[in-house]
Amino acid sequence: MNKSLDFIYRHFVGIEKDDLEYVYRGEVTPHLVMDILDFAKTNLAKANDTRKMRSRIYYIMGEGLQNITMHQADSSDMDSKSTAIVVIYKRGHKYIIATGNLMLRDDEIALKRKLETINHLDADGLKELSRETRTTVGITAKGGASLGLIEMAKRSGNKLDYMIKPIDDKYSYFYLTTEIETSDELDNEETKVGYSISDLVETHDMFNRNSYNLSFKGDFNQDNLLSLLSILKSGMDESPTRIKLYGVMVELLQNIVKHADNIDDNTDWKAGVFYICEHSDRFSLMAGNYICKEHSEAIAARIDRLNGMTYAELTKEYNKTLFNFNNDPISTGLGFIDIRRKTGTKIEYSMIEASPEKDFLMLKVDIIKS
Amino acid sequence: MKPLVKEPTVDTPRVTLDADKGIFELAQMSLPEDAVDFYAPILAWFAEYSKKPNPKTVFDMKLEYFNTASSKQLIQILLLLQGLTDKSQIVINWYYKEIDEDMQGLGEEYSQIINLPFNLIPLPKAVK
Repeated sequence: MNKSLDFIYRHFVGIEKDDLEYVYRGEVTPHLVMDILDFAKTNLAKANDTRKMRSRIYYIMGEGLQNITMHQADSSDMDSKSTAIVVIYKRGHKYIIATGNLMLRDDEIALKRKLETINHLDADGLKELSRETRTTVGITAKGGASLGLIEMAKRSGNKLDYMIKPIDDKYSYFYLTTEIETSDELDNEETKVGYSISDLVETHDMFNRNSYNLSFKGDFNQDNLLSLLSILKSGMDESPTRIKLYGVMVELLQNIVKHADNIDDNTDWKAGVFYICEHSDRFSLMAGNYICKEHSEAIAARIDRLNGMTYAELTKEYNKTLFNFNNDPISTGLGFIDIRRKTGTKIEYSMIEASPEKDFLMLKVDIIKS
Repeated sequence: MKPLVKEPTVDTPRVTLDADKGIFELAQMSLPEDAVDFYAPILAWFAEYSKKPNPKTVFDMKLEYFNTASSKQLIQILLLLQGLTDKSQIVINWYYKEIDEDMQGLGEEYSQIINLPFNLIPLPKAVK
């Protein structure tokens, strides 16, 4: 066991059905914006919100993401600090869309003025400002971005929470969060969880420090899996590495979709967490999910056994399992073998007791860049 | 016999099984949530076909990707075809992207475990 993986469980706060936390760090292109919005649409469709509310949330997400593509500064001389960050967060009745992107210090004053103006207006004031901006501003990227900020405030009914963090003489980092309440019911104080600017900054720092590109906490179902795969494809040019990454990701995520248990025996959904990290020489994929304690030993034994096999032995095991036609709809037994063969690296794992009946299983797989 | 045709989706392949036209093809992506369920009608079709196969059967495997759950179903199709060699001349065309060493490797492995002639055909870009 690799106990250094236990941080996955510590970061995995037990979430309720329909909650989610999605974080992406990287280049935000128009194609990626569409993929992220599709991902959001899939999740929104499953929640218990009205169609009107879902449209509103979707629209605000779109504006927030387009803000990045229109607002962000070009910077070929920056490293990870230049990449954008997108967080979609849902807990109970709260949706929070949080973004971060590089900006020019020269634009700071104008941006602050705009945001302060927006935050001081009431609903009628925002409506009027939106109308004025549409009729007087030319079709420029910055003009479009102004309108975007106004629309986010108007439609969320909340202030835009922001921070501008200087990096050097030329650049700052612009963080923005928008909160949308989907219900007039107040959450219990105990369950009322928000996502503040300081949470966003902390997430960004964590992602930069650990080279995370993507994380997802929520319901692991086929739709979410397909959205995450699509986001992977958008974010990377086709290459032998991406093909391998895709294949391993499918097996890791479908492992959760099909095999994971839940902390409370609810079989409606599968709570899990997933990370993609990129290092100079490899990608690391990490996943975590609940399992019944009665399966823990067998899973550990299986992984240990596969980790001890050579490629030839794994191929023999693969063929033996391939021809085993018990047609178990849940498990082919091939997933871990496939991961070992494709990556050529060992499957690292750890388990932590989550309850008297359940453990939390964490897996890590490395894909060496070719 | 009646053809079996399915349009592709993000996680299921394009299926074209038409004995009259001599087309036997699976293409694009195969990562269905329930592979047993998805491939059941395909296996049933091949079982029916095997009662009166064409003199020649060329099976085009143009899958860009298939998950391990699909592989168990695909091997059953190949075994079914392997069983027809006394009634039909069977050829397997296994297409793969040039940059996809995993798909190439699987084609090579399957060609060794299945007793049928395999053509491994590299493609420069996406299989359509």
